Amino acid sequence: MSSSLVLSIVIYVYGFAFIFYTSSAIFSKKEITKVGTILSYIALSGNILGFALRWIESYDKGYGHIPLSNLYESLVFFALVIAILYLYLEYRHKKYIISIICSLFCLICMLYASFQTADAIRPLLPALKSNWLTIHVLTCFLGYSGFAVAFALSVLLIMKNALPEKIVKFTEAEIDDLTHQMVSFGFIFLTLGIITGAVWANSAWGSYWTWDPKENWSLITWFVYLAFLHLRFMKGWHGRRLAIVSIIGFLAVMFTYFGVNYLPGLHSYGN
Amino acid sequence: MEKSSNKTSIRQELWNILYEIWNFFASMQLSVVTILFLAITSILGTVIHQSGDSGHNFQHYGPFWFQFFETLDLFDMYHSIWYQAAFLILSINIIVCSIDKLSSTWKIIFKKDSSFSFSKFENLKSNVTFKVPGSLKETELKIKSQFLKLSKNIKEEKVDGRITFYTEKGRKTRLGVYVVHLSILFMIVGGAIGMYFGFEGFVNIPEGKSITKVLSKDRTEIRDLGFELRCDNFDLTLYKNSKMAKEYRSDLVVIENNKEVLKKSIIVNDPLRYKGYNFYQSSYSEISSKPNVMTAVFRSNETGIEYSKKMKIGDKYEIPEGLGTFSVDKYDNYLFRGNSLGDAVFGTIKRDGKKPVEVVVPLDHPQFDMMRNKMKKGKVYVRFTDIDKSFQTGLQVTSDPGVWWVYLGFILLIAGCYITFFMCHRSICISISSNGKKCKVMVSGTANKNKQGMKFWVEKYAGKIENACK
Ligand code: HEM
Repeated sequence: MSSSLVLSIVIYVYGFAFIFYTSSAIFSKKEITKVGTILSYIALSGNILGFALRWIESYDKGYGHIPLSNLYESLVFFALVIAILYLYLEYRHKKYIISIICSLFCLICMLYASFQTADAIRPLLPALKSNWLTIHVLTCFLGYSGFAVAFALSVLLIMKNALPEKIVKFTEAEIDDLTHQMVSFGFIFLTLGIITGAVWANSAWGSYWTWDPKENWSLITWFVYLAFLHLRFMKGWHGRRLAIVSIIGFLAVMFTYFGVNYLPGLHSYGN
Repeated sequence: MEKSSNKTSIRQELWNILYEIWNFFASMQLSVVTILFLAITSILGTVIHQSGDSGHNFQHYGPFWFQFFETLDLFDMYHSIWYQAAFLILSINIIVCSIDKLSSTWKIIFKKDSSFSFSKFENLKSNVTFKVPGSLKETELKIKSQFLKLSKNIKEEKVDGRITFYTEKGRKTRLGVYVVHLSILFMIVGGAIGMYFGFEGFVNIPEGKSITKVLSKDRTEIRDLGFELRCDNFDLTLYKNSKMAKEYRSDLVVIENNKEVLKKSIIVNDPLRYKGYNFYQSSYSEISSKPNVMTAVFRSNETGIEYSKKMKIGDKYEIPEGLGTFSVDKYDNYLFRGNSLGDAVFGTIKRDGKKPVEVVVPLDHPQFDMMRNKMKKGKVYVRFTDIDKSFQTGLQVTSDPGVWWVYLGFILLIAGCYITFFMCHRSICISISSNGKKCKVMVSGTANKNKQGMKFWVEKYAGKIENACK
């Protein structure tokens, strides 16, 4: 079985998970939610399997690198981590509203990945051949995924009043706290991502920081979440106001991820 | 009398002003504003091309905006005064705030004795209460032995028939924030050292040659390294069946006082480091398009035996079996009926009493002459392998005395973030009261952050205690 076959099936499974979660919220039926959860676990397993297969395939082709070297591969990994995070939240809190939003994210990621034309496994440029690459990209995407879930929570918090109580189930304080946890998770991994990136750049190009647009945007993102943390810790910000900061942060993440490719620089990931 | 009171009021005034300045620099508003300022201006830096060519910038933005950006240093903003000033403000902010805050946190962190009061725990939302059979004494012992596993340092209190245990954990984790803030200082200091005392340059070394000086990247300085660096060989490997580069490798030798002190083959990602300088493989180029040496392989059509010989341009070679003399005339691009066939070796075969035969061997099409039946008429057929051209390796040269400060900052930042996010200062309280037949146990706890996590923890811990009481 090839990774691309597995991953294209996974798109559908995420899609159905999303549909089941959504209908369970609309009809408030426990059984339908169960189906959504089971589908999510299947999708996640497929996602992990696809990732692993792709890794093996790259060895078969003689290149042998972790599948995190282009936009397609990173999107697959992005979906994978988001799925782990939302299934963890679901398991821990037994509430499903986050799963609705996040399964939609996974669906979008996988769909968007499938539109990528450059999904062939290709050899790495000499500069990219380093263990730091693996750690750097891995940590960055763990961070981004944390922020994605935090974004989902923030959107939920802002829309909460417009949604029926029995769908949301979370109290505002709970959402607020979860957002904070996810931001913390994301922040620590983004920090690790930036640091490993700097160490890698220093070992490959001789300077740990070159003010390249991608580096800058990750720093900008870091600053936004830094402001988030300080506003929360010191100013006691919470709820709607803080949710807006988290949303701005996620926009910065998205720009770091996609937008930067339109600016000139070293990390020409998408092209 | 009058005078001295004036003096004290002036002094008072001065103190007030100092106090205000202090508060200004200790405030969180300042840090948030500065951080957001850096975030927003950094966006500008990614939109406006940095350190570009000013002629080009002038054309691109027109005279007005060019002047405007130039005045604000926006073409090189990361090195501009105001950008550095923002970092300076951050540094002062962190230092002042830490001193300010630490003086009060210190007492919480390092006080000898902990004080607990039941009233603080009694009405917490996250409390878990349950009933267990057995006497008060029994339950007390069971719970105490369980509680001792959590902490050696527990406090016991007996009031109104109620027994209460208290303990606290992770008091020192409150210092995590200061570790984080210190790490930021290290990074800023390291960055500044690198900016003022670092060096960045570039040098080309032809194979077999050596250099002692390097031109800086901005072309303002020629740095004398204090030693000699020689490149013995440069190699480029491609991926199989592809024109993509797999590896660039330069064999470098450091020479000091005419002695070879260090030899290393560098590849991308694996630089040579010597005396504070780092040499990175960064580029390469062919010095001339002509090869130094190549191997010519002659195949006799009669016997099928192959003879090979290393040759340079201009060399002559007497082919065995009396097949004649081969000379390499030139190496050039070969045009055949207006189509380029790429690089080719041009040569002549001379045999006694025969007219010399000119042969052309395009490297990408070695069969070319055979197909034209030219060499076949003769008795030998020639091809070329191992074409070795002269390269020069392009090395990026850096030295950054600040990098260790930055790396130390990285380590502290990771450690500090871990402490700040995943550890907390928890106070835990278990109280037991009895109604004669059964005991009522309450498990309660607070933390200085992550209340939700603490709630989960209390629930789990209460389960454990309940089990232990059975
Ligand atoms: C550019 C970097 C930073 C600056 C300028 C900065 C500045 C400040 C300032 C001025 C305060 C208030 C002082 C105080 O009351 O203790 C503060 C508090 C705090 N900062 Fe930062 N900080 C930075 C980075 C960080 C980072 C990376 C973290 C990540 C964990 C962090 C976490 C905190 C926390 C948790 C507090 C609250 C401390 C408390 O509760 O006492 N800071 N920061």
